[in-house]
Amino acid sequence: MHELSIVEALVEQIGRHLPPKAILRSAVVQAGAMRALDECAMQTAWQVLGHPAFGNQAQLQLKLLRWTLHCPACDKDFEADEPHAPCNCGQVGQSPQASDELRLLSLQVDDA
Amino acid sequence: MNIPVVENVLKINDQLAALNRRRLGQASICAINLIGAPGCGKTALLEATLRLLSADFRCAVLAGDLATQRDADRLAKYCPRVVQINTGKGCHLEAGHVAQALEQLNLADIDLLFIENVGNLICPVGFDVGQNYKVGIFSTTEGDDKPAKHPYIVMEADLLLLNKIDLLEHVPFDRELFEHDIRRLKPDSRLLALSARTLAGIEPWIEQVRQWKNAAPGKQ
Repeated sequence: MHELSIVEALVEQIGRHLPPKAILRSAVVQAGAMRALDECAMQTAWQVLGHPAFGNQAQLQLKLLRWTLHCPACDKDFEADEPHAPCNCGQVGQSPQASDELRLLSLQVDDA
Repeated sequence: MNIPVVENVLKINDQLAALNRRRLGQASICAINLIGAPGCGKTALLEATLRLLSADFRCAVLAGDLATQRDADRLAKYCPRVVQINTGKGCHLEAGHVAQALEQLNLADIDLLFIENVGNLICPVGFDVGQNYKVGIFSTTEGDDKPAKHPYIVMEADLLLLNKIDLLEHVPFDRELFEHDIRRLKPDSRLLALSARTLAGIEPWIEQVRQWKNAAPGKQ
C-alpha cells in the first residue's frame, strides 16, 4: 500500500511547513490519476499517521485528478476517467499527458 | 489561515534519490531498477542476466523483498555483490533503502547495479530510488490485461519486458492485445519478449544493458 508511504512523507512535509504552535485544520493534496491513489486507503493512512502527529481535528483533503489525455486529431488535451478513453471527436489512441502529479497544495491552520 | 505550499509530496525521497544517482554516477555505475509483480520472473531474469554479463561487467544486486534472504541466496551463485533489502511491511523500495544498501558495497568495484524492487506493479513505480533506467516486467502467466490495468509502469518505464514467452502456448494470452494496450498508452514504448528460463529472446535484453552501461555518463 503505497498510500502509507505517501502519507508518511506528507506528515513529514507538513511538519516542515506548519508554523510553530499553529493547529492544522486541513491539508490539501492533489494527486494525478497515474498515481493510482485510493481515497479510502489515503484516509486510513492519514488516521494512522496524520492524527497522532497533528490531532484528530486535522483533515486530509485529497483532490484526485482525472486522466489528462491528448487528442492528436483535435490537437488538444481533455480529461477522462480512463487512460484509454476516446476523445469527443471519436478519435481513439490518445496518450496520457502528465497525470502523475502528487503535490501538497496548501494548509489550513488556526493560531494556537 | 491558508498557507499555500504547492510542493511535491515525495520531495525528500526525490532529493535522496538524486544523491544516490549522483553517487552512482561518480562511480560510473549504471543502475537499473527492475519492477514487476510477484512471480513475473525478476529474480530468474537477474540470474540469467548475471550469468551472461558477469564475464564483461562487475555486477551488483540490491534485492528488495518484504521478507527472507531467498532472492539474495539465489543470486549470490552468480554474483558476489548482493545485498538483500527486507522492507517488512513496505511494498516498494525507497531512495533511503537504496542509500543504506549502497553502504554495504564498494562502489569502486561495480559497473552495473541491478535493483530488484519489491514484487508489485503499482507502488514501486512512483518512488525514484536513484536508478538510471526503469524496467517494467510483465509475464505471460499474469495475463494480457496487465498493461491496461497498470498504466503507470507502462508510462514510466524506459523499457518493458514480457517474460515467460516459453509458456505462451500453455496460457491464455493475447499478445496482440497486450502490445496494443501498451502502444495506446505510450506509442513509443519499447518492448522485448523473452524467457529467462530458456533464454529465448534474451540477447536483445543483454545488448540493451550493455548499451546502457556504455552510454556514458548515464541518464540523469
